[in-house]
Amino acid sequence: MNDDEYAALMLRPLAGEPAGPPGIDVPKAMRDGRRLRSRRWWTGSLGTLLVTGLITGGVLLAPGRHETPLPDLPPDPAVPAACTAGRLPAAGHRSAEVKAGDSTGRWLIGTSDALSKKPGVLVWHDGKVVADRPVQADVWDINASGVGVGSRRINGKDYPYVIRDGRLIRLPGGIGDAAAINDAGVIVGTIGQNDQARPARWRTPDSPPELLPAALGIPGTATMIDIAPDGTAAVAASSLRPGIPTTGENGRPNPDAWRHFTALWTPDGKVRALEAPGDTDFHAVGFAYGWLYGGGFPPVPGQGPLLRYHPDTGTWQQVAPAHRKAQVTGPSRWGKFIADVPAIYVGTGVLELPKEMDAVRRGSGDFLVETASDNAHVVAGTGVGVNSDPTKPFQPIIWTCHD
Amino acid sequence: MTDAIHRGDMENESDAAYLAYVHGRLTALRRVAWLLSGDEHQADDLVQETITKLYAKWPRISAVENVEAYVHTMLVREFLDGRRRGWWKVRLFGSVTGPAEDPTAVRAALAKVPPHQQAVLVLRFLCDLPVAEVATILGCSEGAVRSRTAHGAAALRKILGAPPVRDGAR
Repeated sequence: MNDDEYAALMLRPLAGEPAGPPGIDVPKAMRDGRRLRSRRWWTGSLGTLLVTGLITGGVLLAPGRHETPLPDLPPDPAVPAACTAGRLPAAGHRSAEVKAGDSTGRWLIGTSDALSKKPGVLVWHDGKVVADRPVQADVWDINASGVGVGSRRINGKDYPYVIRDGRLIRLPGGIGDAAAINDAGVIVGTIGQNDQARPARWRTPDSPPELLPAALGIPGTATMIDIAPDGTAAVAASSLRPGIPTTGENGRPNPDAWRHFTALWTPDGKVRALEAPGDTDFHAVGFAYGWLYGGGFPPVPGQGPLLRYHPDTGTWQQVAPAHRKAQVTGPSRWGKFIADVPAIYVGTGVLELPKEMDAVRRGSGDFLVETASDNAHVVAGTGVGVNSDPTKPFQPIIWTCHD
Repeated sequence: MTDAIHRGDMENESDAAYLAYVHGRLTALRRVAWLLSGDEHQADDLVQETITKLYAKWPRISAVENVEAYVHTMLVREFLDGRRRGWWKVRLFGSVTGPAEDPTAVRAALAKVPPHQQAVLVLRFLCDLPVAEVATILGCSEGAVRSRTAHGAAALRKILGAPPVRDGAR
């Protein structure tokens, strides 16, 4: 039996017609399409302005706020000239993945054997495994002191915790999740679960959590994204647009009923919603290089521009017309995707990373890049076999770069 | 008809042509999307996204020679983009269990095949499109379609094994 015959025979059970009624809304497609036409114009016109601004070193997109003089923006690191890829040790585990790294690139945190019955948490320092704990947990971030954060599942419920010197310490406040930690040791995450989850901040691992104050119509169920070095937290939130039904004609949820935006929660307790240029709903992905990166909603690569916002000056820049080109590194679970060619944004530039050939040979030649140091000299992530063979073990990868 | 056609009239004509096209093709597009994705809601989303972008480009697209292939290309790209993104770190670790004749097991196996090969297999063997048309839709050569077919079939064979033996078959 040749390939054509085999494929035709084996796929035969999938032939047929969709059974249910169609949920396609043509008038909505026309409305959204009209918006796309105007947005395309906006993106194109604005893109020209942005490119001009980028060349001259600054981009002004905060209407009526920072017209003159040019805002004082942080310099982006140079895109490294070359990188080498290597495999991180996995302490004898068949499979291990890097989940996050610190600002210096010296600390990395990840998990081992995540799909097995004996998962664990790994911490690397200067490329060596310094902690290997056999616990079922998710890890999301680590700071320059080697303190990691994440959530640990106990009796079917998740609890926020820190991992320090190889020890796991539960954070106060009950059920929740610790999403990110900065170099000052301030932790952000959520308390509660599902509809009851509230963005929270812990000043220290011992202090009780502060909950995001109700303000600006930000619902309690907003999602914590990341924390900046100065303690400012980025929260992704949604609110109902007035006068628009939440259910569409087809009985399914109406996505147009919701406005998606990002709010900044500053260390002084104030909350402010960000207004992205144009009619773009801005969904934050994470802080990097002094900026908050994010894109249009839904946060899907290729749909809408990748923007970044500088909190101190209120400046917006367009990083790329579409997300798809490369990944934004950071602790957030948003904005990551698996690619056969690993690449990250460094400032507004793109750093293409070499494939780690050992991972490729082992069938784990697709890459999820998770973290980059502030100078972009250390980048880390995981080689996976999702697109080639999902049964292959994860390979923890480190890229070492130089200017 | 005068030469002075108002812009509003042009839009109305354009919209009418779009509506006529979409209403005529909706069922077929939905079927292709369903065969690609294996899920009715996802199929609806794929078609919704495709016809939204189609409307945005309609004034230019309506003039192209082969609108049908163009729209299929848009639809397949939507599907491939969705597979490529992994935006939520989607892990495709659904287990392939059950007999090879079980649609769920076959769909799970197909989902593990690389996206471009998956699209080729669906377009050729479920939508019954000839190699040349699949090549046009995917923007590649006929040789690439055949190559992806072979690789996709090999991947399926690796997951599903030999075809089920039927009565009377050796």
